[in-house]
Amino acid sequence: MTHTDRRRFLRTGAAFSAAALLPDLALPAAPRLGEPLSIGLIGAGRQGRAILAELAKFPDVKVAALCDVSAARLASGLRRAEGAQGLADHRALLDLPEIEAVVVATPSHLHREPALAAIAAGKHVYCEGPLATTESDAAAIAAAARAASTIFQTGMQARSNPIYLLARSFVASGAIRDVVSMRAQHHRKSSWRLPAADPAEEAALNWQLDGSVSLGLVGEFGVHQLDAVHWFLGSYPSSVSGSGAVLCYPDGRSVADTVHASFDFGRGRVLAYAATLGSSAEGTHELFTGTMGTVKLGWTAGWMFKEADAPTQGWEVYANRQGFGNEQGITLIADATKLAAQNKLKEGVGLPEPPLYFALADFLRSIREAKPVACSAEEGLRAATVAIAAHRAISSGERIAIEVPGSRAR
Amino acid sequence: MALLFASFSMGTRFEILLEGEESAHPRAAGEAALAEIEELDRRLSFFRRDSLVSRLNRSAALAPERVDRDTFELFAEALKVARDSRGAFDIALGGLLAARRAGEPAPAEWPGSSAIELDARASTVFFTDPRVALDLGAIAKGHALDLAGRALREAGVTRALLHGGTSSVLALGGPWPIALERAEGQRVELCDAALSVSAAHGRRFPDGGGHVVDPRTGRSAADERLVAVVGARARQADAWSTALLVDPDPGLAPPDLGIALASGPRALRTISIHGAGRAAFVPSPLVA
Repeated sequence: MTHTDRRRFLRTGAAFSAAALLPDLALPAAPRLGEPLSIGLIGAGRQGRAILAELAKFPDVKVAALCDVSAARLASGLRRAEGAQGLADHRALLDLPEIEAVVVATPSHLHREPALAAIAAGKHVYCEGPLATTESDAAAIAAAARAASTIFQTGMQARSNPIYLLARSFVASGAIRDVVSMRAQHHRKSSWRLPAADPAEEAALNWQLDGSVSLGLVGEFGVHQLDAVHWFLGSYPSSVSGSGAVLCYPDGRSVADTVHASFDFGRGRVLAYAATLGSSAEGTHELFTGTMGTVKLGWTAGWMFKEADAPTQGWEVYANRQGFGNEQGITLIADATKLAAQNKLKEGVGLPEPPLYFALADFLRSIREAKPVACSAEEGLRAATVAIAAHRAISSGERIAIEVPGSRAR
Repeated sequence: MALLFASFSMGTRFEILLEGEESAHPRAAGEAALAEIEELDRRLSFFRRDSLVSRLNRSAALAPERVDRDTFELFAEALKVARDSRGAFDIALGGLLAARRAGEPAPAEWPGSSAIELDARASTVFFTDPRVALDLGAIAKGHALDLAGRALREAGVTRALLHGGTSSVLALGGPWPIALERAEGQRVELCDAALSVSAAHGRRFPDGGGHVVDPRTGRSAADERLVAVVGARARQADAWSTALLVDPDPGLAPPDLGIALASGPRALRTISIHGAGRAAFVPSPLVA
């Protein structure tokens, strides 16, 4: 088959299959005429600055103000928000009448106050995950969000991720048949400690390493992965057990740098979770193993592995594949239709923007076009509840029963 | 006490060496510096679909795109070097470089960085020619080292050595002695300064040409040249070492850079040193 013939073959084959099966990548709304949406950012740490980098990509959005209690972090944030006002106090930010929406990116144990104040001030809110670090804080935020007429989105990015949306549709349509096992891991090689120019700031800056306020690895990283599992399965675990230790960085921290947890989803289905700061091997991903196939999701890329006896769909013949040892994974491409039309199906494996971009795009769509919220405060509350229980299990070594608010096993 | 940090970023190995016990948690300082490098790789990579550069290459010809201050200043400096070097350095070569990498013939003509418009007030980038594709390979490592160095200084570190792929080096404190490969006996001593060495070695295009390309002709720079530039900032040294490899006229470069130009097929026979810079090029007594 000549080069040109193959391209034509791929184009027609993939375009047909893509149109039939794969959702088009939903592009953010075209810039609206009139005033840009004015946004305020509360918390200009690492995550806050990452949010600013993504918000800069929306031409109809203006970051009008940001606030942080640290002058150094505020200055760093202002370098990413041309023309924004810098403030030290979130109450001053919420007093600005032009601000319509607020992003809360303070430390997790400090979400409650700015989130409740923003809702009370009538602003739409995007709140980073975990929603909060205690059940009562999370419940208070969810209750306030429920009662308000403004938009509230929890920053659980899987639910906006085009690759995860695609994979979920496959799982929902039975492509992997019955799920028998789930695994998730978060591996990175980093002490997770931030340097403080001023020793007095050191403790506050490194709240994540402080067991009295932090939910540790399962609460800060695992919660996002847990939410993805809840979303895929439509159910929540009823109990969790686990263990953790400081294996790599005995620097006075009171939070484990290596944890394992086992979540019981009932009827014999278990999610095995592992997180460590001591190794980057195989990074961060979730695995859903079913009787006809396995889906592996790695946030910026995803793959489906079929069992040998699984029926082959027509479109799979043309799909891109990637080798993993002896296995071949079908790459889950987010915008296959568009790429196929441009004869670019081979390129562009992986997301065209970071996952955070899509979560923020959904937030903007919810505000402007009444699109249903990608991850509600309620789902944020549920994910936080499970993460809090997991952290308790890891810290105590006991199996902890989980009572997820308002959930029904499905 | 020495701590070594390493990361594979921008297609090469970056290393950071911290010496001394200046801060209570030196590990945190080194990791913060590595985090800057890794984040820059995600933002500036031509090869990542979700990078800012890929986004600009898709959209900046349609409408001005906002970029953060650090990135804006990087582009501004790159455009200045492009003008001052008479086009020997250019960040707009993405299309041309992609063709050479694929073994395809170069296009008949291509736009240069003169087709890039910067608006300082709005902090935006706009391409006046849709064929512009950014490839920041010739300046990205230096920029990464500068930001990593800034993170180290903010954490209170005063003595460290950083490099990317051994061709871009930044020294905090010093003196740190650096030997130059292919320039027998030549050493540089760096003290709060950066060094960038450009030469045709390592990766080559399918047609055998070296990876440093003359933006004006599309052809690879001559194989037997080596350029070493020393200056206060790594990204300026990076950009000028590339420019001078293409057009070895040291008169074009800013006067506060130290420049060593060398040529000759094997070990370098002729070395000429220009400018005082911030380092001493120490010639070996073996060099005539």
